[in-house]
Amino acid sequence: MPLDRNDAWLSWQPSQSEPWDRRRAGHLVRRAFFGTTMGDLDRLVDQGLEATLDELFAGAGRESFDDEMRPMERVLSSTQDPRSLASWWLLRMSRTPCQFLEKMTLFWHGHFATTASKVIDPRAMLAQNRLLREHALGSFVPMVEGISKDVAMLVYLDSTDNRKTRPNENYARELMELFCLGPGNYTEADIKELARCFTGWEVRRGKFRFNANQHDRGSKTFLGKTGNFGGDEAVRIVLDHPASSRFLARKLINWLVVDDLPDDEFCEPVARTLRETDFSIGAAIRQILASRWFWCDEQIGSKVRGPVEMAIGLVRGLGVDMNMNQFGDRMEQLGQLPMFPPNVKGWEGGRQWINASTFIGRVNLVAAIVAAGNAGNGFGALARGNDSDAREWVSELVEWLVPVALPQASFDQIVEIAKNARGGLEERVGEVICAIGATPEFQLN
Amino acid sequence: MTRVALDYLDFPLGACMRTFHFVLCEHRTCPAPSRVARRLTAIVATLALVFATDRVEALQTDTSSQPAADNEALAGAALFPRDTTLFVHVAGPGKLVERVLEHPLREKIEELEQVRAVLRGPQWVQAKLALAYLEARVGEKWIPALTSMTGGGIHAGFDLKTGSVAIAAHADDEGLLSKTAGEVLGFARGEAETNGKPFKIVSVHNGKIADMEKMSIGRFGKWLLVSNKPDYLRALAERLDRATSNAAHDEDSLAGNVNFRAALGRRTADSDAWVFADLQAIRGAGLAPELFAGSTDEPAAELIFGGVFEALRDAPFAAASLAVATDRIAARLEVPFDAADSPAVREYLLGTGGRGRAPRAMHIPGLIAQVETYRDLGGWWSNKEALFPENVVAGLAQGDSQLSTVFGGVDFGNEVLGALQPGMRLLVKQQEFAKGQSPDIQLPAFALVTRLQNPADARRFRISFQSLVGLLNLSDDGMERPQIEIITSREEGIELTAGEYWAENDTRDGLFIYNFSPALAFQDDYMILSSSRDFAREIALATKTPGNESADSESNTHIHVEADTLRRAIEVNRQALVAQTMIDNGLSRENAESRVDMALEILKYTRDAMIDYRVEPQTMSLEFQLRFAKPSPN
Repeated sequence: MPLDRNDAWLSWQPSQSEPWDRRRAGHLVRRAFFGTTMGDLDRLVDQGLEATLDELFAGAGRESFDDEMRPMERVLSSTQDPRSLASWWLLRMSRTPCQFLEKMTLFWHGHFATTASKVIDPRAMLAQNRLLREHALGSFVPMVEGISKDVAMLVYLDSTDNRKTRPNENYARELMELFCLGPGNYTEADIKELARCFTGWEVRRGKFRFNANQHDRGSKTFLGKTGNFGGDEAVRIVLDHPASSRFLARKLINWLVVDDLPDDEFCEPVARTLRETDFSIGAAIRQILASRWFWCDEQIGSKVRGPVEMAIGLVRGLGVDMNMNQFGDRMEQLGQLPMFPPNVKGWEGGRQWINASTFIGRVNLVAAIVAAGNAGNGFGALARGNDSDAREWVSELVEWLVPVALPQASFDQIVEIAKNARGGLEERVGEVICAIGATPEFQLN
Repeated sequence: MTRVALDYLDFPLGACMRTFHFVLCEHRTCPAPSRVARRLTAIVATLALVFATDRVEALQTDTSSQPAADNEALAGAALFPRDTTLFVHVAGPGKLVERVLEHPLREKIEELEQVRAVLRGPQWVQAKLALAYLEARVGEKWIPALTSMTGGGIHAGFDLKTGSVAIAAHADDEGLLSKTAGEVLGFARGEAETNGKPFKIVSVHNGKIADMEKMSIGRFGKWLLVSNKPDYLRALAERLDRATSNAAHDEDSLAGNVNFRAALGRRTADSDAWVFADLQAIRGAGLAPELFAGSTDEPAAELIFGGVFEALRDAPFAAASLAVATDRIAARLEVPFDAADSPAVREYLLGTGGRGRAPRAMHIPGLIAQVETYRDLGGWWSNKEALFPENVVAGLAQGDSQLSTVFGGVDFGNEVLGALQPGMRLLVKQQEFAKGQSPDIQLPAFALVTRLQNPADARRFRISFQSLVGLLNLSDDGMERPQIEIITSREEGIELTAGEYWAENDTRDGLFIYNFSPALAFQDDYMILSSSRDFAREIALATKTPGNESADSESNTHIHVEADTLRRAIEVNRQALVAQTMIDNGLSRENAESRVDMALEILKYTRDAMIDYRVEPQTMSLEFQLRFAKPSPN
């Protein structure tokens, strides 16, 4: 039965008709994580929904993982090779114990899109990445304040020089249009006045600096407020605009629940949470993930998987070690190379991820991941001791890897592959994963 | 042709292999019995496995057997056609295997995570057991068996026109060869029958031939022949027959080829393996045309490899040899070359009549690498119209104009490069960094050492150097870039102009740019351009010290890399290597560290490496040598 619009944001509880099982745990994994092993999926089922949501936000193991990655970041800072940043981040995504945090960092990277191809300096890109991760589940307010002074962002938007005689409007425009309010909630005059607030904000010797001599100390009027505002006050004024919470709520819902967004009114409960918690991202996300709307049947498999979440999910699920430079090349072919978003709007996502070329690329990527796994420990254990019953272990693999049921004909074909493919069980499991990866259903989230 | 029964085979090896497979592998995780090719691959792999598992006594290279090795090669060449494109002779493969197995490096390589994984794998164990079975069947351990079955060497030939390839092994022990061949063919027959593939044994008057789907194997007395083409194998058998009945080598065989004999005459005394390549045939087939064109569009490639291009354009053949001993591996590649007839346009590289010699090596403690080469940069530049096509010349002319500006308007080719004497050295050494200016990735210091035709030209170079450093200071792009102060000093007859970084309070440590403190030093007619002030000064001082150079060089170019200093330079950058390994292999830090540390450990077993490029009156040669060292306890 379709969910009543008025009940959408009520808290969901597992029931006999909607149990907390592999299917629903897999739904949460695909939306909030990159991917888990089959065993870990069962562990989530066993521990229940509440404990799983708690685990999501707890971020256990983050400190030691950051310690492990820190020396690498220092080395990357010393190179002048921005491309290696993408490999580094893909490695990080594939190994972090805090998948939810990392995936939200990827979301914010798309939101505050900045490309290393223009910024070049790895230190600036890494600093921005750290900023996004630091606030990914915290408050949106310090994140916007930080991004407004972020060297990579200012370099990317040609805002390293912002003089009072010639205010740079780039950042002011994007702050309202893309980061906080959305189109239609400000005027061209607002942009010009907001730009004056940021005069004197500049980059010198790779660092943000406030140049008091270049700051316009005159009165400014924008978004209905008047005063001698500086940049920090201007950011707060933008965030206090009624459109900001709705804008952010829609972005989060779009990322976590559905590609085709409903109207503002529908998203208002999440926007209200944001306003009431001074833009607590974690609170809004928890509300979304606990809602009946998130868990209703029609949402499971309703989104298109992004290339990174698809590929990292499979790498993590299969426990495969990959050459991340080559992996990055494939991500680029599929249209989502981290650290290199296509433009200031970030990745469009949704159905735009899939076309004839990228679909073939996805299938080839699955084959490459399986090949890397075959060269390592193999996949025999994934058949869970049921070599004699191919239908059974294929069914388990499908349930683990695909959010919706496969058409019977596709399933039967895959079972045939499981029975007749050359080689031993490990090779046949690999062949089956490749076949599953080539189905349209596997591309869903 | 008649099919004959393999009556000497009373138990099919293929069945045995399947038995091993069943016993060894867990029911659900082991691949099913595979095809002939996979089985044969497993046997070949097994040979390599036993390299790694059987202990044998060390044997030094036996150089006294060299004339026999030449005769051995001739005996093998007598089987192959006169126009064979590529011929390989391995003398004493059994002894070669023993030497490799005994090397202390083997243990370290076995400890590598990837090698351990292979050695633990079920297919590896299965292959080893299959070999053990084969040993039991023939009644001989595999290394002595290999030694006996290849006592007369292994010979391989490749014919480019037909794509035919053949391997010929000459045994000391005919009985053992017969028994082993029977076992292997029995296995192949079983697999072929199981998989419905063709398998036929025919008798010819001097032996037996087994024809399979993609391979033919023949045994003729002490000879075992294997080929991918049945006709090719039969032609080899016929030549063997003629060679057996006639004392003289067949003039239609490779042994009667004048070029082959000329090449064999140049074979080095201690080589374990030797290769002959018919370059005329390779050129005629249009393979790798860039290599034989005699020229290149890349100015840097011409500067480095121009002499090789010159020789390969017309050389009738090339010969290569490989020598493996417990303390070194040496390889030599050579082609015939008439140095007296070398063209004037390449005198910049070869010298007049090919007599250009590299400068003497310098004795400076702690060097990682040193390159000495005879190159006349002024001659290279002034001959650009003759060396390169028009578009490249146009690009160089544009560069000439821009560089002339940097050098105060003088002609770059004639007055800048032309001011240098032929011959230069490139030196590499680990460097120390000032406190607060230590880069996260620490590169060694580099220095180019040349000599001026006229020491009075030093001033021009110094001023241009100052201009270039000044340009670096002006290229502020808003990023963190400390300014460079140029300081000139004169002491002990050395004039040193060097850049020093001005690290302001807010400049962080670890910047990559700290690897470079550009310096230019002059001492007498020496000019030293270095990435490090201290290194430039050290070299300048060394040029003043009598006896601080080696004897006159006989090489055109000589490269020497010292493993110990190289390892220490790498260890300094361990974190960077670990990071790169993590990214390249998707590994955790712990696993990446383990892999890097093992590679560094293996480097401890290496003493040095050398490359020597020589131009002699009738030969151009390239020698490579890797010497091993016993590692110190720490």
